[in-house]
Amino acid sequence: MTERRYSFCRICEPHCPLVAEIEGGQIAALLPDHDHPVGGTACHKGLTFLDVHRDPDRVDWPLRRTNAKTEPARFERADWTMSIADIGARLTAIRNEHGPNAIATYVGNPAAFNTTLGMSLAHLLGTLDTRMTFSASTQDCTNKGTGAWAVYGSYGSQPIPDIYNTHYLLCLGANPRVSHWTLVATPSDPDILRQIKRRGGKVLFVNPRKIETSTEETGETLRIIPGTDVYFLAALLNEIDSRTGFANPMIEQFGKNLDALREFVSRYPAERVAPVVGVNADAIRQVAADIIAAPSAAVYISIGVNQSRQGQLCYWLAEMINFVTGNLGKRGGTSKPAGLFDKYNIQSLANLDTSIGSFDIFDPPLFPASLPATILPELIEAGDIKALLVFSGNPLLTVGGEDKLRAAFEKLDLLVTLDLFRNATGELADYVLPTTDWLEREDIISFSSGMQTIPYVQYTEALAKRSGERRTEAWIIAHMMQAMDLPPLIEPADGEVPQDMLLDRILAGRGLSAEQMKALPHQTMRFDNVPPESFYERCLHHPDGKIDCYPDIFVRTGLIKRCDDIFTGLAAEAPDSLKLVTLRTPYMHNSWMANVERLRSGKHAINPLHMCEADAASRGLHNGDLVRVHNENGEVVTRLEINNELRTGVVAMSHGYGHATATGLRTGSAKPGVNYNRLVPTGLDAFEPVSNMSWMSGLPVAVERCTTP
Amino acid sequence: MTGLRIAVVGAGPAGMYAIGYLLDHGGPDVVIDLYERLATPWGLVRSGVAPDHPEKKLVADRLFDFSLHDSRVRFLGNVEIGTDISHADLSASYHAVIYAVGAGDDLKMNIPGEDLPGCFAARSFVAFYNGHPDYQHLDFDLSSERAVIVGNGNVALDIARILCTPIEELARTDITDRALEKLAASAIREVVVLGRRGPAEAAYNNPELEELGHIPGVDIAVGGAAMPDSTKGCSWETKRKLEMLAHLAARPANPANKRILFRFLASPLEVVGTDSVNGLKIGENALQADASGALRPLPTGRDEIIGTGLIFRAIGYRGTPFPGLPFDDRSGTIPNDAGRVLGETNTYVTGWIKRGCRGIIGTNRRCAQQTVDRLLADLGTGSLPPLPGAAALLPGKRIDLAGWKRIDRHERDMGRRQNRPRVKIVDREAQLGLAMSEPATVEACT
Amino acid sequence: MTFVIAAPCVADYSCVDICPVNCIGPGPEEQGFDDAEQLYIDPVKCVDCGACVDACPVLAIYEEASLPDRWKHYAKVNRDYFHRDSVTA
Repeated sequence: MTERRYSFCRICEPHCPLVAEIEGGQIAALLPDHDHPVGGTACHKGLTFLDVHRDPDRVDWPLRRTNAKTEPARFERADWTMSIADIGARLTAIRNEHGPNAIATYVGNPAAFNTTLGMSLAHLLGTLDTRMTFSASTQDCTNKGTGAWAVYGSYGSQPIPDIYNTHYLLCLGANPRVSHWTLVATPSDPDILRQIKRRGGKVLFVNPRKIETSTEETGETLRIIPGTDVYFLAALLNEIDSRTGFANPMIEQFGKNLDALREFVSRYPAERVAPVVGVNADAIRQVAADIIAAPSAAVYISIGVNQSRQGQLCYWLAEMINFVTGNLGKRGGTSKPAGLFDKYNIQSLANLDTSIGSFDIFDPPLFPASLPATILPELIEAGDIKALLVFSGNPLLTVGGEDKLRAAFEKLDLLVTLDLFRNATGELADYVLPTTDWLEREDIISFSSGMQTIPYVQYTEALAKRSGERRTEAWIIAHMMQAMDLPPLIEPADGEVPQDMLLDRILAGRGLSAEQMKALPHQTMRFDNVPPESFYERCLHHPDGKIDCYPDIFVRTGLIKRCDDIFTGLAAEAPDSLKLVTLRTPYMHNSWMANVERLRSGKHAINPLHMCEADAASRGLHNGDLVRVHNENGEVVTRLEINNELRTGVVAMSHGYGHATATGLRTGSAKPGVNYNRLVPTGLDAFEPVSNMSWMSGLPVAVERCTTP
Repeated sequence: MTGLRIAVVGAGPAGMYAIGYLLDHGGPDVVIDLYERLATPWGLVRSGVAPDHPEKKLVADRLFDFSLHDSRVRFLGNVEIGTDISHADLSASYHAVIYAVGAGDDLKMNIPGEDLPGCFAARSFVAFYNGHPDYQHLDFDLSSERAVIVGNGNVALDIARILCTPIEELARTDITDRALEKLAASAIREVVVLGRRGPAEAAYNNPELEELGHIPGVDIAVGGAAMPDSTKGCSWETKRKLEMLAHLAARPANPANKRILFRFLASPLEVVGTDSVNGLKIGENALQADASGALRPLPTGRDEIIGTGLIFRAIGYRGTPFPGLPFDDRSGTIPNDAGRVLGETNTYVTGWIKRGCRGIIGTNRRCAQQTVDRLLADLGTGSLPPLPGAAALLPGKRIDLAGWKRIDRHERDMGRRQNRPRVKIVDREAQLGLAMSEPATVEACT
Repeated sequence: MTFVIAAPCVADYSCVDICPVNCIGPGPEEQGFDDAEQLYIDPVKCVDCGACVDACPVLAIYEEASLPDRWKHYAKVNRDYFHRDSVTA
């Protein structure tokens, strides 16, 4: 007897609708839900998640380390009660002896798709009162939240492009065909971008590589030199200013510090930036002219830009283009859609004093904003951090500087990972605690709330019985807090922490409950959207209610001067220098995917270095050569792949490889590839002020051939 | 399973697919020695796939080369099993041996005059223009205005295409320089492609047929049989072929063009000539259904002579006996049960030598999986006893991965200068010389 | 929209292995695989995810609108394959 149950994917923002065929309490098949009222079609990543669910390498019960962290790991099966008691006691002792900040947390990307983890973690951090919070977000996107905070007054005031109605989409550092958008949730349907051209509009992608999204049906790629987007955007603003001025009638009411913005962008006219960005001045001017001429336009930036050292200023300037051209809060422009809740945290920055320096962090702490991950090893080495709790993360590999991190993690008094697998970080842990995957737990779409082009919420039941002794993070955190004599978010009843009870707290904001959701078709409730103009009423949270067009914090923290200095440096660079960018593929998402055999088959067993033929020819390199890629931060040796989608001077490599030491991932460690992040700068000077973002892309590298081993 | 040591003989698609599957399923510490008679790997991907099919050759770069570079695989080129090392010695040195040696021979027409100069096996010409070192001594006389290809499978069409493609297009491929010179001076204006049966029974595949329509300056004509009135009862693939052939033949002809003439319902009867070929006598056929319903060609008794100086027989490849192993002369294969050689304990076959000469590159993947699955099932689970390996047996003249890479990079270097994928080194001594030269030091090249 | 397998296909079924909705045939277990001229994508079942594109060792797979001119008709060929019985009749 096969039962069909509706659910949704929890890998990326669209939360694609799924239907599961259940037989005997287990999932027999996972399929796209073609009848979902909002639409969107799941891709192979979501549908292949069944492989993760069934993976024999999954952790099924608590694992306790039995030897020193410096030795090859030996783990034994442990009992939940004993494990929780031991962890609770050790955390309490650390907290008592060294203070709350001696306990740090690191949160990986899957936490964004795990509502009750997010809730429980926020509660844990608040109750523990630690400021030592780290996350994957400083490797991909905090600049957008901190940018919204600086410009609009709240981390949550991030408008999204109205891709269903826009006439001109300028899309920088994003590859929606592969990523399915980031911090924008729209039904996964490649046709949405094709429709822009069909209705007479235009899409322009700005990337160092002609991306998969860029086709004859969507739009061209302007192949920019990586890490120079900030100057490209400044030149656009300067050009717009000189053509039409900043013509939005809303400026008068909502704008402030326009003159300072003008002054800043006037330093970067198209002619001056052209040689640095690698796009000729006429092409830059044409983009500005197109934006001005379009009945509506939206500028969107994403990971490729975020990671390229100046994501903070890029976000600011992109928002400025949207604002000064009158496209902010406009149909076809950008706005902030309705969501489950319309709540905007008002944060201030506070100093966190540590023995290695003072760092800015939001007060009260705000997940996912966090300290720069690049300083995590330093803080451990300095003795500030004694315990690290890792929630569905793998910081050893996903943060720059594997060797430094390893040495630091070995010195921790307590390292606990909560994960589906014993990953490379878990290999160094004192405890690895088994968690449920998203097919095994109840959830709602919450992370995408407020960034959906079509606002809705969906509820899902747990589709499969939990195997072994897997537990939700909410359960683990609640029990851990009890063991520390701290009040959990909800008191476990009979040892259980009912997911629905927690989800109801979020749903209540809309007057909904899990029970009600279960009765709806596809357990889905659509919301009426708000008018785009309401952005100005809902999302401006500076005390004066204005849009800050030249936030003082960018000056105070040295970001502006840093921008000018970097320009000087780039202008002086040798013309034949190489920059490394990250290459997103459909075969990798996070450490959970590293163990999926069919995503690691054939050529995807490794991550080669991509280089265009012209660069390869001038260096005497050929497809298939073994190459050493190195810079002052480190080196990796991998295979060369000729890829003529790249512009000259740019090489690319995929993240998510290098699991050689993760013996708990048999496929991942047998087909390790190399860890890109060995080439990423680490330490006190390696992050961008305000956003705390790591510099992951657009890195200077040198490449040379290794003789065949 | 642990401790598995395997020898694979033959570095063509069949062997490479077997290796790829073994790497994933043969246990984490599997060790594979890959024996190849030539100094270069990839078998027919290098010496069979037409030079104007660069996409198909990508399978080497995008798949096989990843296995070849796996640290668990050792390339042993220029080592011939059966000559340098006996089968008995090899099978004693490994837990299992997989022969993926392909088909070394082809089917003869068995007609008078077949051995006259000017009448060649298609595979010789293919191997010649693709740079197989064993075929470089051959001399093909392209001074005749007409060439005849007996057989109308994909190999026949490859040859027809190569003979008719404008030289400037071929010059952008990895065809050998000598073949280019020959073709540049070619007088051939017409290629007759001969088939015993009708257009509905033609052996070529759709993509190969369609491609003829893309060659600039070439007309396609059909002779010997009217196109069938109806495609009723034909398979979908056949219907496509018939429609495409009708479409190609209906295009307006240009007398200045070269021509590919499909001659159906015609069998070769005799190669005509005294010192060399000067014609092919063909007999007309009519189709008649046999007891099973299959259409068989029956001679009508009418015959004619096609004037030509160049004949290629392209009626099928065929495996050859392997010293020390059984052989089924009827099918040209090594008799086996799902890949395990009959009467042997640890010897397996895959690819054409296992199943006969049919299928395309990827067909070998399934074939290899079946063989390796059988092999792994035979060996069971648990840890295998250690074996000496074949180190003591290896001849000194062998080529390792570094040696092949020297050849490969040299060819690509030369190709890059001429805007071609590669310029092949076709002389065996030159290949060995390059491969055995001192390893280059690490070149700084940033 | 859909992806389409064009003429270079060599029937290496890496695409079949990675396809999440089993829309590519004939697969290695299907009858007819050994004699297949190429593999085909069923446009009705294809979910447009694109995972097959780079998995193909000979890069034979294209987004329908990006098919090179000489292989444009393969969109129809792929579609027809899945209705070959009715197409033939």
